[in-house]
Amino acid sequence: MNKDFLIKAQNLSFERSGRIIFSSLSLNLEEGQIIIIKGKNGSGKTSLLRCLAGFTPITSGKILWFDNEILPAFYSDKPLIAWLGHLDAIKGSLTVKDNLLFFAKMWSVEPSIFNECIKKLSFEKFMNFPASWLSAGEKRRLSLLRISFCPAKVWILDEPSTFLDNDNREILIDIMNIHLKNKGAILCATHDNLKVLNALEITL
Amino acid sequence: MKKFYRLILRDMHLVIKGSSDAGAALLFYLLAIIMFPLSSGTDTNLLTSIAGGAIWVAALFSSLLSLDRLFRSDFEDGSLEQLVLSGISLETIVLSKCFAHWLTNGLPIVILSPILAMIIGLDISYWWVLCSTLLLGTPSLTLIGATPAALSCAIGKGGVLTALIILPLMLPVLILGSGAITAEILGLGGSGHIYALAAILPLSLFVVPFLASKALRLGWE
Amino acid sequence: MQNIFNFLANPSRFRVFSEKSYPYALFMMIILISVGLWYSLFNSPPDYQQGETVRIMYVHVPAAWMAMMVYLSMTIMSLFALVWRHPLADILSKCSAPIGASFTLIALVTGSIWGKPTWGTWWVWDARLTSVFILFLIYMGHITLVRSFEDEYKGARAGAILTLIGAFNLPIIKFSVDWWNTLHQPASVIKLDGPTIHIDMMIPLILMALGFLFFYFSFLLINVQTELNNRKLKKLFIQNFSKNN
Repeated sequence: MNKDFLIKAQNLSFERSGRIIFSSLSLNLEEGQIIIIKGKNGSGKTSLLRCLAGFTPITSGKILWFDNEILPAFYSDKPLIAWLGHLDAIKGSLTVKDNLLFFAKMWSVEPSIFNECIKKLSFEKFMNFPASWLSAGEKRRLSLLRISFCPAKVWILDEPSTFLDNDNREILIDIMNIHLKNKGAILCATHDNLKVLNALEITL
Repeated sequence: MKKFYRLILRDMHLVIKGSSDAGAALLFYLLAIIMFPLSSGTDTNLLTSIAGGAIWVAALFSSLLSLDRLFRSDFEDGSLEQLVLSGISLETIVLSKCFAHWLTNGLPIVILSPILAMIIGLDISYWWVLCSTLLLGTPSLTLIGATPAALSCAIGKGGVLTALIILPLMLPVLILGSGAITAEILGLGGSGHIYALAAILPLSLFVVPFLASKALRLGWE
Repeated sequence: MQNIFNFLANPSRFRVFSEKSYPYALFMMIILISVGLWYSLFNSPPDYQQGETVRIMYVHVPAAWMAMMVYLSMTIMSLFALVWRHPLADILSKCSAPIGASFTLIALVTGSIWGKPTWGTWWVWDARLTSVFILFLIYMGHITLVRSFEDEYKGARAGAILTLIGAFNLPIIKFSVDWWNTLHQPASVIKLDGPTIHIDMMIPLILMALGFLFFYFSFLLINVQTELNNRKLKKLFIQNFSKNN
């Protein structure tokens, strides 16, 4: 049994308002692996991802992050897990540049990597816009941009391809593949068919 | 430590860019104090005797109005989750938001209080007591209100409910603060009240971050 | 001690326990209050200053004691709920709040009725009365908060958090008559060097206090049963609903 699991989840079950959302769920996430979680609406994909990101406590079972029972991201300097959820975490009154720079400085990201990611997602022209001027798709791309320069090893993505057109979907898949090649790992919940290498599928 | 400062800078930046109602809360402070002479007539003796209490009540209401939105914007747009995953504990986030709130609400209240004292006719010799009680009391007001503000994020709507919960908790600070001024005016010495106010501050600093972060986590469940 | 807590942590075991024990608690309450009332009204001496009006004390003081004791037990239960994650503690805390609020109201009203003949006023804003009034407001805020959540599990836990914040008020109430010069009389029963009240007055006081305590126990158990039943009904309804779809 190799101990290189980034996230190890054993026998998880989650209950909300007395209703069992999912039970007896186990998964192990390795380096360079992507686990895609599929299921119908309301099957608990978002709840599962939020539990694995440490936001919601599970009702029973055990989750080990990097072999720790308490999510080390909460106590470490650099982010270990990156989250892309339904909410964008973008402040409308600040410019796009300020929004991104805040996190870049927080995560101690090199300026070269920062600029490279901006170029990759062709966001240069938006940099001085107030973030409230962006459309839903552009805001999604902004979140993607933020996650692409995040130094975290594990990415947890909840429906990353919403609001993205076909071109941008390709860019998303591209980014995900690069992250996996750099020994990262991804947990992704999606309805969409994302053709990513080495994908392991779990259905709720 | 650096991250703490960055968080505060960000909140200040947001205030300047107008995405918060800090200025409105301060305007309300001025408006609230005007209501006292307008409603109680212009008998200067009457006004002087309630001056300390009136300023404190106005400060309380101004705090109350702006506390409701303390965590709401970051909670509702997902920024809180990003901050937590960036390696900042919720307790630190709570403290930084409280500090930023005090800088934009409590500190201006202290600085503006001499002007309000003039409006309501508080004698200049008591301005020192007024400012020191406000200086010690406004951080406690912010901290005490932080937990109900976090709870209102968990409920999803705030408004009157948050005010209803915060108000009884703030009453001891109000009683001590205005009591100090009244005691000075009566010549009894307000130092006891001030010491008690000074004791509440570290107590709330210790207890509130823990409870407020529990409340924010409750909102995530 | 550990075993008792673990035993009562299971909701269905707690329900069985509470269904069996609340009749006894009710019985004890009726006995104690009846005997206590008889002692207070007939078998205890009138005060040398106040005459017969002192008999309000036998309702006012136990109610005030219970108002504080209920909040104290809510604080302990909230600690259990938040720190040690006891599954039933926040329900116990939620169900205690209306009972505590009622005791506080009784204390305030009987105190006011007592104050009119003895002090000449229905109300005065001294430290003791003000802090008990604040306690009443904290109770009402708690009750409102808990019921404003659509999800009652979250509501109970939010109540636990609020209880802990408001707990600072309890030492203020207890020691307010020592720290400030108040119109309300200083402590004469719960003091470091023992009670200074005559035994003939102590007996009805203790009897009424115990009676109120059993009132709290019985109605707490009844409330908790109701809450558990409500939750179970909602669970069954949701399960049934999703099965049929």
